[in-house]
Amino acid sequence: MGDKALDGYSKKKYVCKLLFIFLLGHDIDFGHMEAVNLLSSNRYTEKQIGYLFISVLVNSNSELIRLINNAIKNDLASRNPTFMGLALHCIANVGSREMAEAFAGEIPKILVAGDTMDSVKQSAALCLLRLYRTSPDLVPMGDWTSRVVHLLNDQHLGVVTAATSLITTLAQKNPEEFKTSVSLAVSRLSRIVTSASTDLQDYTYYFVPAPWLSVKLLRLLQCYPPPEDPAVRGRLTECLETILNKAQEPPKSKKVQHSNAKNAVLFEAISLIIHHDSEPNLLVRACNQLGQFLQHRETNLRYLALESMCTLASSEFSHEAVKTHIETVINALKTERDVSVRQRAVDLLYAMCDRSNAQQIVAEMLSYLETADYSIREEIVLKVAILAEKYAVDYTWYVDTILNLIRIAGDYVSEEVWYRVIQIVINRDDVQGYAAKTVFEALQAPACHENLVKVGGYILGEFGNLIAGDPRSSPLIQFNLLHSKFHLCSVPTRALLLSTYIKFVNLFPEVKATIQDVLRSDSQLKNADVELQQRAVEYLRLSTVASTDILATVLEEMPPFPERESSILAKLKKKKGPSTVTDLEESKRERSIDVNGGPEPVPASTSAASTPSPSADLLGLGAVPPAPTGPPPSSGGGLLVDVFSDSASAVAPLAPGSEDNFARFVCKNNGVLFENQLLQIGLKPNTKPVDPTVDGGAQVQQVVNIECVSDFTEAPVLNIQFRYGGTFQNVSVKLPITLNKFFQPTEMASQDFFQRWKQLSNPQQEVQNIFKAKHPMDTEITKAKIIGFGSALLEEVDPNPANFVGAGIIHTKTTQIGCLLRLEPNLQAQMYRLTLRTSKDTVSQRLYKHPLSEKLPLKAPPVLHLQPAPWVWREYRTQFEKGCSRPAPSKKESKKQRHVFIGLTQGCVAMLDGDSSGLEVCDLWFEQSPPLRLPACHGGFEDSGGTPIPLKLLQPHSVQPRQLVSEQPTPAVLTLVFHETLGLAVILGLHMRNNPCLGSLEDSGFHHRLGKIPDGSSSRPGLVPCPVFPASALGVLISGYDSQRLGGLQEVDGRRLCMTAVALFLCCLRMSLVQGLFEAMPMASKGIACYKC
Amino acid sequence: MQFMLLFSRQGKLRLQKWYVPLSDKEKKKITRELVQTVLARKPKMCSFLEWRDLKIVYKRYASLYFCCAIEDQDNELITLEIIHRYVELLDKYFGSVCELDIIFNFEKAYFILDEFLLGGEVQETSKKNVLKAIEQADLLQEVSYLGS
Repeated sequence: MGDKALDGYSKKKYVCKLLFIFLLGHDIDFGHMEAVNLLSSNRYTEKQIGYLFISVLVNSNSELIRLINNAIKNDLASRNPTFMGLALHCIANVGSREMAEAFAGEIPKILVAGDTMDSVKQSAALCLLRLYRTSPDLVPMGDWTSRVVHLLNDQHLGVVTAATSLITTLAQKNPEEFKTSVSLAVSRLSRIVTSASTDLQDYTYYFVPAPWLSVKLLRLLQCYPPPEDPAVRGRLTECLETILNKAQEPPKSKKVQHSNAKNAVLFEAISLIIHHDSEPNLLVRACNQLGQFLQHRETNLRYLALESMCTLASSEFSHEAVKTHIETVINALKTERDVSVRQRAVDLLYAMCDRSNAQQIVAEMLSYLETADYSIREEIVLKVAILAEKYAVDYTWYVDTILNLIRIAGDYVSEEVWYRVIQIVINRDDVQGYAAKTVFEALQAPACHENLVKVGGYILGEFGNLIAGDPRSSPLIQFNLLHSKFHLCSVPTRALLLSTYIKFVNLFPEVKATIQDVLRSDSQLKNADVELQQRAVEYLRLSTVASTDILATVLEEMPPFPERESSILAKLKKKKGPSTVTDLEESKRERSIDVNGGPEPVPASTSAASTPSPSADLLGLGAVPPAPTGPPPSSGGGLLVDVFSDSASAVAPLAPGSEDNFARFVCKNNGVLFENQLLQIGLKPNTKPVDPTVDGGAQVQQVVNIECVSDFTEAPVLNIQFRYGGTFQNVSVKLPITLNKFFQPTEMASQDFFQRWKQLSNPQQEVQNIFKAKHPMDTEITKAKIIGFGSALLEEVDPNPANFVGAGIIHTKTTQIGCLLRLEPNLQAQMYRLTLRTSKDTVSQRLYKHPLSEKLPLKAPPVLHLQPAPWVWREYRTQFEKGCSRPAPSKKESKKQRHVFIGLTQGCVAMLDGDSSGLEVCDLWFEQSPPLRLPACHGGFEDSGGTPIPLKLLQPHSVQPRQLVSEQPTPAVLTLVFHETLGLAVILGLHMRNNPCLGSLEDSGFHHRLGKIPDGSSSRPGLVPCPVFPASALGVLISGYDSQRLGGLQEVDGRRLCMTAVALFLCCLRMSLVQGLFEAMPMASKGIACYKC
Repeated sequence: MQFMLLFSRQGKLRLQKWYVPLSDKEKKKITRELVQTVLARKPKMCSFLEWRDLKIVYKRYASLYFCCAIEDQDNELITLEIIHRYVELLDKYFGSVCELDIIFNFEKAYFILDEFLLGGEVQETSKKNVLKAIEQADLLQEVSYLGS
């Protein structure tokens, strides 16, 4: 081919043959150059074949593109319309970026030039469109755009057709620029639909006037909202009505082309009507029209009608009208022979579902599921599960539906579905008994799906007691029923069942022996699967050693799950991908939730659980004494309680950490109120106005005057909005304004004091609280606190010099409230008694829970929230390993006892390092990825936002570690330190630095205990029953491990042991379990000590 | 429109036109999958199907399948008529077209398609205008041969 002697004709011939060979399916990797040569031939045929070769064979990044571009440039400049046409076709076919660079500026000129021939204009328009699609950045907008819009008025319908495509695409990205196209398109459309069928001559297609152009114009109009100009709008409505009317006219031809073209326009018109979603009349007419098509003999029309109706169902105007076709759609589901049509029917049923027809639709989908094509079963299962949940009025129906799903299509029931039914059963106590009964019955089927065993195992483990009264479902029968399935199940299911068994041990003491026998059998204790073995060993041990109380705590019912978006819905979204149809459907669904109402939200447990209940407050950490009667609701009573208790509800909208700081200001007037990476808010008694812009590092002051109108409970919230680096920042901080800030100290003599004291003897005026001191009872510090609180400290007033008395007046706008206080310390008992009397009982009631009771024991401010938080092991591990790689401590340092403190707080893990003399924060890290759910911690352990807490909020100096176990610092010793201010953070202090056990965090199987799903995925809430071990149980376990009966565990040795210990301790985070921790210490250390690192 | 394929009942590809940039490998994969999917469908089934995130519109004429891939918001029925109009154009040009015409005069099939559809959009719907353009080109061809 490279032969120069080859003349143009031969070149053309051979290039053509190459093309032919290519089109027969063979690869061609030569001849390109010859084809490029042909481009510059003067002969039309040679040029034409050259261009064809390039169009078909040259992909957009060929190196020949420069040569090709040159040839094209010449042809474009030739003014020969045929050559220009070829060149434009070639650009449109190749459409590469290089071509866009070369011609994107040129083509608009050709397009709008007055002397360009119509056919060239058409090619130029579509050529530009192609380039705009490839490289929108290279096509310059300019004054040509307005002239392009006017092509809509062109006399040549071919030009209008081509231009409409271009304008539609451009208008999608630049709606403003092409706004004028709306009225032009409407008038053009109007002229077409009203024209007689012969007017448009060759542009009439089977008696339908310009169907392609009509469809394109209707598409263009869908880039815009309904026209604002009433004239244009009226004209458009007329057009749409005409199109709808024509659908009712008898066909002008029996040919399918006629009906297709006519209906193509009709469907596009309906799309526009749905897009505008503003004319109820048109929407209902469209719906009726589609209803007719639902029964049309043409499969294509039925398919399209189902598809369009799906989007129509999302409009509130037509939702009801769509619903009237339910029987037809159900019929389609049953009788359509084409699976893609049935699929559309399923989609439509899903879209039209609301509370009124949910039961019917779900029933139909369930019955369809029995015969459905395998390819769409999973999707149907998801849809049924979502509908059943969303429209369940009666949750027994929901439970029945899901169990039916599992029965009919168990293999297609994904984890999300059965997780969800368990979440719902756990969160709704009205359905628990029913669920237990139903799963029990379902499990009696001789062959039931493994998913049913999972659901059944879980639910009976939690709620089997609810049906145990019936002799037909006695504990033993329940157990035997479950255990009869055990051997048929996979390892994860067996693991789940083992957890059910240990739950049974707690629920039904009478079957304990039976269960222990099962656990003790070799098939469990020496199971080859490490997870099963470990569970069996631990559960057996736990059931043997732990007292009933511990068992009851450990195996308590699962706490309610926080409400969240259904994971099933997320799965369906994921499955369907990001196509527009689904988006519509999704948005429809979301809207329909509003329209039809979802299930009542199950109250989230977090806020309730995070406030320590009085009974849980064994160590007095929360230190908020319970009110005997509710505080008067006058001004929203309870604010101060909210402030000083660790209530999450009050914290939620506020900046993290501000709540902690807040408490410090009860007795102080200056300090840092809020701080993060960007902003620090300080507080001073007197300050000046602020400049609107704050330089980095600069300090500004803003004066806030506060007047107390009456006694109050809500502390004012300071909203600070500012821009930083272009992004908008919003910080809300509670101003530390509490009632006592308006105290005026009042000095009085002993006689006056006691006289007034007696005057305020009305029981409602007095509050008293007796509480334990949590810090050394230092007289001077206590005095400072009382003064800081705002009252005067009255010396030599009380006959007992050890007592403190104070007096003050709270000034509000309307009244003045006298306030007397008396604090009686008892050094032997380390207790205080605080008595407050005020002249206004609401104030007394408030002061009953007064911050003083918090402050006087000199409790250090809470460093971090006590609310336990999610936990990311991977993060934890890497950080730990980083820690390990640090240089070894110097000799002097190594003499110190090193501790590692792991505090779990709101989305934050703190690692403190230090010794008994003090602590420093060495690491702090935050939860980011979906965390695990620590089951023991009621309410806390779900994926919260993971808000970072700035390091500085930690106040290392205020940390007073109490070392509960101090023992010889050998490298193998597990040191447990109870950290008072971290509260329930259980601290595992050990010589981690060189500890090999770090390497095995992942493999040790403790994920299960932390709620990780057996399949290893970490993004789901833990639904596996997670036994919760109080520390005492841990001690039990650890001591259990040193026996010789560990079977396969020996090879895993102490690593596993140690990590289990870590895991278990982290489970001990509930306040009520802290006491158990104390009990566990000696045992724990003993247990660990026998493990030689 | 993203692409158009013509293939025979035996699955032989007769014409392909791509309006989106794809690598040869992708093109081959798509072709293979799609030909299989479409050939597996029964005659009375509807002409539309969802495939990946595209909509496929296909129609069979004698031994040839015409198959178009359109985007989500595109109109299925009008695409069906694009196919039909193209068939009509071929038919008119060749005089009752058959598969062999397209095999042996593939360049004409491409030229006609380019006149009718450009960049995946309808350029000229008038049968007369399209054929006029093709005939003119043919005339040029004659002239250039006479001239040479």
